[in-house]
Amino acid sequence: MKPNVEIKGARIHNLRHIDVTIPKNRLTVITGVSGSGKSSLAFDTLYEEGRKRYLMFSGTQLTVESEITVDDISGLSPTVAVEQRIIRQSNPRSTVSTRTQIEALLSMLFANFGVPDDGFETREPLEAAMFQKNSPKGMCPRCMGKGYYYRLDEEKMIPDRSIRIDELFGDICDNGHMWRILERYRRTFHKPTDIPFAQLSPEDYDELMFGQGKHYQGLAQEVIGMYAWGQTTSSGTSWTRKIDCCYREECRRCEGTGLGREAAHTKIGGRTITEMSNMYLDDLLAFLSNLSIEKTPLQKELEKKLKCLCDVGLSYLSLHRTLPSLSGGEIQRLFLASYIIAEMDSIIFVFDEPTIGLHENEKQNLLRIIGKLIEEGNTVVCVEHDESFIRAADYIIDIGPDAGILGGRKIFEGPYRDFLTCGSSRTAPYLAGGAFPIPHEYRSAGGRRLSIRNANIHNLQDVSVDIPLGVMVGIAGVSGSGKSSLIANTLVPGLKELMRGWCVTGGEKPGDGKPVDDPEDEELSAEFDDEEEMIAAGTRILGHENIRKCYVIDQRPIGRSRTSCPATYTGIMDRMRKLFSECPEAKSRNLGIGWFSLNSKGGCPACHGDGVVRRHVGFGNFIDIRCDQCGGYGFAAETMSVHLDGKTIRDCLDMTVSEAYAFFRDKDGVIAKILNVLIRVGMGYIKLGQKTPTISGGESQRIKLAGELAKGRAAKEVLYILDEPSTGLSFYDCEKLLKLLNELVDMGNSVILTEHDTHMLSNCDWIIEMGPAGGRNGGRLIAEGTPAELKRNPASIIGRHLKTGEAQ
Amino acid sequence: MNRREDHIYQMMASAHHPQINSIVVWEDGETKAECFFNGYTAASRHVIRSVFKSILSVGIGIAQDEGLLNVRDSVKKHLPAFGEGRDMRHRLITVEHLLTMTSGIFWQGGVHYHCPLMAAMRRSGSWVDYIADCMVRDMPGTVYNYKEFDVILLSAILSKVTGDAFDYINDKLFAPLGIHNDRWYKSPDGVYYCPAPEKEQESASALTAGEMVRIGQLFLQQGIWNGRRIVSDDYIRSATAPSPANPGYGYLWWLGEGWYGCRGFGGQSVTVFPERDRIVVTQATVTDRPLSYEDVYFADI
Repeated sequence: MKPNVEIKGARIHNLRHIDVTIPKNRLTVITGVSGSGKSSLAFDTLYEEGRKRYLMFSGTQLTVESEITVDDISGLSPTVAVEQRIIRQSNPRSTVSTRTQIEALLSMLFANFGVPDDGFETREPLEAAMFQKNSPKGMCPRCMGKGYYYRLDEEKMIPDRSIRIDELFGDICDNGHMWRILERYRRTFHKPTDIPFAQLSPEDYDELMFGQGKHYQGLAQEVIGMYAWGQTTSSGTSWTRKIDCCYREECRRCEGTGLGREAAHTKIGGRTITEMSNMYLDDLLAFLSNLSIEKTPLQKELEKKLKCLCDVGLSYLSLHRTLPSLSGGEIQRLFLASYIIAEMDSIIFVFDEPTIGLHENEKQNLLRIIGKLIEEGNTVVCVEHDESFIRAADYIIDIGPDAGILGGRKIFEGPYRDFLTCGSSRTAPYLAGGAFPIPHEYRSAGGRRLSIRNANIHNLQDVSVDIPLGVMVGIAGVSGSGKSSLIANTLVPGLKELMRGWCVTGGEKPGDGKPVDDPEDEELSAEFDDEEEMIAAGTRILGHENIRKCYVIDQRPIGRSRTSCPATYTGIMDRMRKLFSECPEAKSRNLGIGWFSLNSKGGCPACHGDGVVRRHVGFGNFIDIRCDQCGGYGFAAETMSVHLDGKTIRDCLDMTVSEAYAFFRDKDGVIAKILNVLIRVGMGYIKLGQKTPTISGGESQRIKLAGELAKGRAAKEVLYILDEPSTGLSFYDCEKLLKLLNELVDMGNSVILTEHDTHMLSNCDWIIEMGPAGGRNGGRLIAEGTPAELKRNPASIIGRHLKTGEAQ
Repeated sequence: MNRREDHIYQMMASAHHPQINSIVVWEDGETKAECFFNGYTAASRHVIRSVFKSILSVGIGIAQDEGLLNVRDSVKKHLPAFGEGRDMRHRLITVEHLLTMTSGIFWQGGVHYHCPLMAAMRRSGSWVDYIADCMVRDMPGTVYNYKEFDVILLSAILSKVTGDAFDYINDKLFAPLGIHNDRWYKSPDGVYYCPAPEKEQESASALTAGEMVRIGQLFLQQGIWNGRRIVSDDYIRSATAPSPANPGYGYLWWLGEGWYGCRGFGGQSVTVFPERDRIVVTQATVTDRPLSYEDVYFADI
């Protein structure tokens, strides 16, 4: 076996023909500023090539690349990658339990050892599938395994029959979505909607309410759909929240378990499978280990898997948690656990920022697990920005020096201690100490505050806390300690209720009626199934009058469409189209705005704008071939013939934000302004046309932040709520982001960020720390104060890791 | 053995249908050919599987003729579980929807009755209650989905309006036609349903090939048997007319170009060709695979 993986002439994306050596059986960390080419090296070169060779060797897949991206790679072994962006999942039916296959093991355990309650005995033993709510055999037929359904109260919906159909919900009917529903009714039945309900015959009423299936689903279904959509924290808009004739009901057949009655009433050790699925993983492990049933291989396997999940720091999760509700870091650790369980050696693991979402203490645990993988003979390569993780590396590869065309070179390669003195690296100076700015004094809140009283959702234990306004507040705490429960699940829904349209989740436009437009859209209907988030009864939010507006900027994707990208999301695309359509070349040929859109006339007729055509080559194998007709550009020939200052629209979409800023600065003030904000949030490296699925959660969040900031309101008294904004940012970019957030605060706004990064936290004016541990051992406020105060506070766990101006 | 029977035996020798046990051809008022295989005879009783559905349909027709129910009745009128608002769309489901497999009630498992939902229903003890708890997936009347639930509900309704569905069909249909049938399987909540869960119980709905012919003959003769009206020709017309959601299906009777008939899993069939005054009946041993013998039903025999 060769001791190293040698990569020669890597040149995908912005990589400049670089040669690197990665020692096997070691931990190698690739560093560099965001967009410098780290991922291109780790994922698009090392992992892609390793994967391809393995698949070709095992004969399962054949892919032929249209482009050569590397001269040579030697010393490869099978490669496994966990990349945050590709594993973001939106299927609400997939859970921790299904993903880890613990569901299968646990249901087998129930099929073999379950004891039915009195009155629920069956003639034949239940099969394992009957304990799985996603299986047709196990699923409750009333709620389809969800455990609840939405109901409509017709009396409440139409309290007065003299009301006109098209005035049913008052101003909601002015909303585009409701109008389209009624239009479908008018078109389907050729009947008017400007008459009162009282004039409808019973048959007409049923048609209006229940439709005829295909073209018109009926008001009942539509209103329930809008209501369900409006209940999700992220997507609900003010008008969907006005629907008060619907309610969610726990399924009466399965009593919320989603299972058939016999399975729901079968127990092991006094607990049902549903109860077990709701336990914290460490509790479940302890419970199963103490069972007085014979230790079968099945049970041992189950315990081993649970133990592994606890080891990677997920003990505070429960089996029923849905994958979409997990953070990128949590999902990554979930996958990591499944690799550890497999106990393989000689594998090359490639990870993308595995420390995301981990508290300083938990990082040590993760390093221990990675150490174990290496001990067993594997090789681990990580793209990482975290200081303590980089310090633990055996070998460092630094790519840079800057992002995009200014990056892509190898700056350093060698052991950690030599890296510290590497002057040309953007990362090394921070590690050597002192480079990251740490404030010497903290802003004071001046009395304005938001107060949360008696928060009890999830594991929160009657938490009451004051959040100072006009400053930057960090919410700290180990994973599962209740940070998100306090902010995303208590404060945000509370503010949405109190402030209505003045509290918005970044990316949605108030009154935007997109939700159920296309009922066929799987992804959208999946969103209806999102967990309902409403402020719990008994919990109060005080002081909302101290803020005028609240922006919640989360890490959800910025768009779902095939062609959505930063340019479309930020509105740059619309202005670019206009610029192009005003070019003489366009005007003379009468090419309007639609010719500069992939979704309209401008899309290449052969590949519909994809740039590649997928060909089936037999046996389930496909190859992507560059589209002949457009040469891979995705745009029609007419569109490609129009030039703005020598560039086609495709050239523009291939520009990074920084490049585009230079290009558009003197062409369009609005575009320049948006691009400038993008650069300031650290997104200068991203391409205008980068497709949404390849944009990470952290990147989505920063694009949304830029979108809100670029709207240019001379905002004051605005509250910005961010979730781990340092995700995916190098020290260098973090510093830039902090500068921007500080400017916001200095203008009179407030910022709340849930964060683990000690540099970011050290820069907050006030920290609220949850803990002390995860799950049932968390959910309490353990410390609050300035970073300096926390450092002196023995009750604080994060305190000792914080940096203060005085100490330096 | 007549010439037609000779022809059938010859055809079958090369047709590779070892499961077929009987073939009967009836034309112009009389049986023209009766061929039996695998030891079966004219007196052998054979499972009918879903031919039961078409027989139940005749029972519904007779009950409508007698004014006991109407196909336009809503199901909740007869089954109170459907009037509790468990699902908003329950109130829209009619008897006719059940007859045309368009109740919209959730169903998974194809045409086969060994499906998970049926198994769960059987374990539940109360069949009608279980079905009333299932989600209404499609708008009633709009989507055809072949399922046992609709038939079970019909059987429950027929018992509800007549007192006992088996006694009613036995008195009003089987007795005049000279058909013998043992009492059918009854669910724990008193719903007659064939095919029954257990093999032994299923033999209760077994018919001879000749009895199957008589079911077809009744329809061919527009409901008249030996000069006496058994079921109205109105009902027969509706039962054999294409339904809106599936032109190949009437009221639990299958339809095609120039024919209508009954189909049971594994090759149980009655095919009536009204314009040719002709009926073909087959019976076959049931295997795990859903075998069908189109080449025999429509052969020139």
